[in-house]
Amino acid sequence: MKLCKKCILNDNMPSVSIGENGLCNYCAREKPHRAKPENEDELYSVIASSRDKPYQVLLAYSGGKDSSYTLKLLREKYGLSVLTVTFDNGFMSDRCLKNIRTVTAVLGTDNIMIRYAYPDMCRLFNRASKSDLFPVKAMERASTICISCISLVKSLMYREAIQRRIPIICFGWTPGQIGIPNPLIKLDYQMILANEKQIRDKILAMMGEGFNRFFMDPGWLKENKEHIPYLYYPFVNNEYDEEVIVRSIQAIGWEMEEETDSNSTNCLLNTYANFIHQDRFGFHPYCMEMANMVRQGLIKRESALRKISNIGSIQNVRKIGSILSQYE
Amino acid sequence: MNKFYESSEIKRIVREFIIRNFAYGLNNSFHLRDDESLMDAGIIDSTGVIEIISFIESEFDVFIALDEVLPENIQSIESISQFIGKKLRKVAG
Repeated sequence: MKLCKKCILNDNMPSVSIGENGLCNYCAREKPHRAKPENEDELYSVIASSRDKPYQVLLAYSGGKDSSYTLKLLREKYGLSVLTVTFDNGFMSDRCLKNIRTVTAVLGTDNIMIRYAYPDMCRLFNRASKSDLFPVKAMERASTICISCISLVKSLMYREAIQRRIPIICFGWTPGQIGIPNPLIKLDYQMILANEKQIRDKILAMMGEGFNRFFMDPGWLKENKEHIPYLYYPFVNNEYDEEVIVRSIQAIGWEMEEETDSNSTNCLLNTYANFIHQDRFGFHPYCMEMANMVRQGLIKRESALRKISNIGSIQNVRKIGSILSQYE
Repeated sequence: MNKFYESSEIKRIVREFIIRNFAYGLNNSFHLRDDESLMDAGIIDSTGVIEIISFIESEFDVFIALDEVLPENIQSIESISQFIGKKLRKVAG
């Protein structure tokens, strides 16, 4: 296995090749970084038109460091009324749940916790861990378990935002996870349906028609197309510094998680998902994100390598594996 | 001022981008048909859609309005190429 000498990508990843100069193809074709967009007129315009609403933003709030900081940003920098939605996949750590209670209390934010049937979730994650259902590119960005989980979260977020007439949806994506120039976008309902159909068809094929309840009805979405929310990516136009982020949220009572691996601050399943993915495919699912962050100068290469080499507690991996194996 | 592109060149650039960024995991990705639905074939997902839009804007120096991000404009190499051609013709006036 060859490793890029500039970022951390390795040639076990399908899209990666390492040249004779030791650079990967991503580093070799890297373009100069765009300056962060400073114009927030469009965002403020959307906010201004929704000041009369109970909530301006629906935030997918996992309790992790990035979404906790995102919440703080939305509340304190932009002065927004935020409804946080937490999807409890059944594997959130006790500390994470405590962090959610603490941070939402300090920031004066409403929180809704949604939990789908635990046996169904375990069956989904178990089968996803063995599947090759998703596009190769998607599996270079996240584990099959995480892709399954986040697909349910995305559908949930759209559904809640549309029902509640909340104009903006936000996630805690890092700059390494998103590579777009504009922080605010809105997809047409046909595009949303096409995206969702792709993932829904795969999950239904794997899990059965009962899982259709987790996705949006196409007719309903079309009827409500005027209420489709914007997607806002705060780290496209706000600075990302992990040390600053952690200090900032620790100041309001957030506590670092110790039970997870170094790539997650909330989900116990993540450690298992990363372990399985690396075992199956020969690369850590956080490689692409970390490599992007290295190229953007947001993390040193050595730190990124340390993060992906830390698999977390092997006892936790075995424990989660044992739980999931009971749900075929 | 936007550079002039032949339709065949647009298609070549788009095909190279799709194969380099998304279809590398396919066996014989060079046999990817121009009219093959990238979503139905499982080659792109929702994040891929956004990456395609960013690619079109930066590569061809055009602006894509939100209401232009439709499946009919980006579902295949052929439709992406035609969409870009239309955008460039509009800019050229």
